[in-house]
Amino acid sequence: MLLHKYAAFSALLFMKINRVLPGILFVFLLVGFRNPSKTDLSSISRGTLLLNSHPQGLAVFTTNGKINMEYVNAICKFLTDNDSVHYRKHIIPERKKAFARHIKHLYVKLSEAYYDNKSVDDELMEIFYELALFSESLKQKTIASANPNVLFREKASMFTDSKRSGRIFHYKNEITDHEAANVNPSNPAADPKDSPYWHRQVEAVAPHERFEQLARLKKVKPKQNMVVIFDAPCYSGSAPKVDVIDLDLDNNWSLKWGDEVHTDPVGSHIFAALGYDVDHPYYYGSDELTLVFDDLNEIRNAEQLKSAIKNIYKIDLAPFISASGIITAEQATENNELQKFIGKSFMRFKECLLEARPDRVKRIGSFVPYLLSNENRRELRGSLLANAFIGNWDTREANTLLTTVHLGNYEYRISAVFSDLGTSFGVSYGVLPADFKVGLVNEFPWEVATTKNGIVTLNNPINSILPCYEKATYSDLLWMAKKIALLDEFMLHQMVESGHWPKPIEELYFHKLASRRASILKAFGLQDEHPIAFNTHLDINIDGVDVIKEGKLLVDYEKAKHPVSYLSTKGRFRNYGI
Amino acid sequence: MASDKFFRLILIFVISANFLCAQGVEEQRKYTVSNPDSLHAFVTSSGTLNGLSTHNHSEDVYYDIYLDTPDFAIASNHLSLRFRKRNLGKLVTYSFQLKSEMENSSGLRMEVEETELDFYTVKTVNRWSPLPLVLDVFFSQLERKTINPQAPELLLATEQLQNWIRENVAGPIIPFQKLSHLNLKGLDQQSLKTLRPVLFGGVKRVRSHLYIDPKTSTSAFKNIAQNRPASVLPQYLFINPQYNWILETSLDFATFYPLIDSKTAKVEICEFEVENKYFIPKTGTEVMDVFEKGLKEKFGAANGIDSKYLQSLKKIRGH
Repeated sequence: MLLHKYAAFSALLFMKINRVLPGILFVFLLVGFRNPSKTDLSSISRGTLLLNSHPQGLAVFTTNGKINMEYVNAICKFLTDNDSVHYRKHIIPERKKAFARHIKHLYVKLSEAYYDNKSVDDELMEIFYELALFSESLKQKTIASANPNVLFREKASMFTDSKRSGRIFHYKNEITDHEAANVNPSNPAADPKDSPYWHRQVEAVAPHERFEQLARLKKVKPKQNMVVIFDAPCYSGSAPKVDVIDLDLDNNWSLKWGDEVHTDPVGSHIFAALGYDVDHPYYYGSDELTLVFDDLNEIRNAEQLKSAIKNIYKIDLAPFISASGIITAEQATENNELQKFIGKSFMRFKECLLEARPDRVKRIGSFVPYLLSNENRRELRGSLLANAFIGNWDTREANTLLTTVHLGNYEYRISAVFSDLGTSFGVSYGVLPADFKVGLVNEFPWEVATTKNGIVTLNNPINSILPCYEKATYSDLLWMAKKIALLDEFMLHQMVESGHWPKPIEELYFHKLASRRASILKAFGLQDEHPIAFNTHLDINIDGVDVIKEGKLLVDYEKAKHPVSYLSTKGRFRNYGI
Repeated sequence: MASDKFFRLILIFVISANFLCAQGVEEQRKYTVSNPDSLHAFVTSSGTLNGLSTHNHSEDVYYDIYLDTPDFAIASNHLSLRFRKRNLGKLVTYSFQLKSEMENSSGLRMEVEETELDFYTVKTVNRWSPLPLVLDVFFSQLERKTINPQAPELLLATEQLQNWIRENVAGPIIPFQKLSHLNLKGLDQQSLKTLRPVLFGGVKRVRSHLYIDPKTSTSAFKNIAQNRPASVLPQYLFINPQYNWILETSLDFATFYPLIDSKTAKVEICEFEVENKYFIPKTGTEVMDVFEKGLKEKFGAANGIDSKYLQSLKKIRGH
């Protein structure tokens, strides 16, 4: 990567010194030699789900060492039969055709093995793991869909876990009796094998490019100036959002507003860089996205959308809107994509987030972090430190996803996704009044890991201490610390830039992340191969105004462009204090 | 007989319940025609009838293998179960379909299908082969027009197909899943394991869109709102947005051959089907009524309700 930077710089110099044309040619040649991601799309394989000892829950798949076809038939029916509509009296979500197709592929493999009287081996075990995961995930989704509102006891649990997580994450450098079950026990800090939950880095794709590599694999195609068509209001989550469709009518997107517009892209880039699969959120600044309304939809203009958002989320969308009206021929001349929408209503925004819901990815339910011995996977335990690194607070199961990714030619790969990573980078939360706000840079501590008397302590409250986090050991976190150590200055810069914070705030976040990275490496005694300079006393003065002083944001910079304050702790349940 | 009526009522109830769930149900009308040539000329000539214009867009060839139990429980329950090969020029597809019979001339039909069979396998001599390879043993006789139900390769394919059925009756295959939900007399899982090929044949299908052309249609039809079909608009209607797509028609010329003992060597059928494609079904039905009137007056069409399977089976079994 460094080589590419120097090469590009040399090319620019060459262009200045000599004539422009050879310079362009030189750049063209360099670009031609680059493009590593395209050649490596196939390098993301499914990996293995096998643990050192198989979960007890998989025993039902076998009888006397052979396949229990009766059980296989039953689980495949549950996963494919849309006429089977109830699970525990709740409506089961529709099983999408592509997902059902994948299950049928697995069924055929098992059926052949059964009629060949084959003994159960690792290949068949992989299918058992996968079917069991899908089944549990679909059950979880069924129950979650039936109970969309967060109950009081769940809120209480979030509060107690947030408090408790400040006390329990202490680690001594020792081998415990509950080390991860998918690594070589003689080398406890080793990489697990690639799995649907995590993939090791490949040389050809730099960590910070992993996000885009995953996006290309899923055929996610964001454009610089995006036109999307309104589809339907959303009723889930607490941040305002709606479903939209892009102009090729192939892919759906979720359009969001509020305090996660910067944090979600950066959190997702960093998790992707560390080897996890993620959602694909993109920040759009002032007037960069046009939302058009179809006359056939129930919601046909800005006023109706504002009203719907107000009804569902109790949030006033008005401060986020930069323009609205009817698309004119003149606008369509400037942007050809608007031609067929002349006369229709449109909206544009000061800023928003567009998150991909690509057709190639079918979302089932959570990746069931607490079932089928998943709490013993190194990559899931290690994600505790990744969450701490970005200061993620909302670690609930609901923010995990099990998916199938279409690889082309009707082949699919199971993939576990860390979703909704935007509740991070400085979180303020409270019970009275019940509210939370994310992306508060002054609430984002400079250090996340400390050591005292040989004990490493993590300083990051999380609202759900999943079993994989409860069971995490020093070895698991050391493993993740080594992954974080691989992120160098350039990569960190690139990933922070994906958040499109105002420049002074972006700079402050960069210094804070560099500092948090250093604190992790120091706590785990790792030598820093790529030290990143940071300044905890960062000062930024713009036009005589101290925007940042002593590493602290003092003013709500560019408030007009960014309606959600970077200082006020009033969150979504108080209309962001707008 | 009384029990037969009772089960019919149950089936109608089950199908209606399915209709409420809006899954796999379509409104179709079926007609027998006394003069197929004039109807063929009409559908292929982009003509108009009672305010509706026709656009002939394709001529496809289908090959079918119909299955039933030895006591014909599929037919007794007013269903048909078939493997179908669609030959759409460069594209060839295989599917496995379960359809209900029409209960009256304007009835609804339940139809579900497993649309991809390529990845299902059949144990042949010592390896697993794609299911379509076995189906093609039947279909190739139809394609070559060398019909011989007693040919050794056909008898072997029949045995292999029956093995596939036995092994997959409880599997995630949509028609089997549907039959399990319908829970019909004589069609429990054990009975389904006795399914066997009963007849096979080919269908030449001439397909057309029926649409409202505001320039030539009646004043009543001109006021019908533009269709918003759940599926993607066919290409012709997409590039002609001024036309309002309401119905789809198919004129079928079919020939079937028995795979069971029969005095009848083959059965030939000509039928015309009209399908409601309008997003407000009631409006589509009203348009169908107007079109039907014209069909009867101009082409001597008569309502029919029996499926091709039932028509053929009656002739093959001498009923």
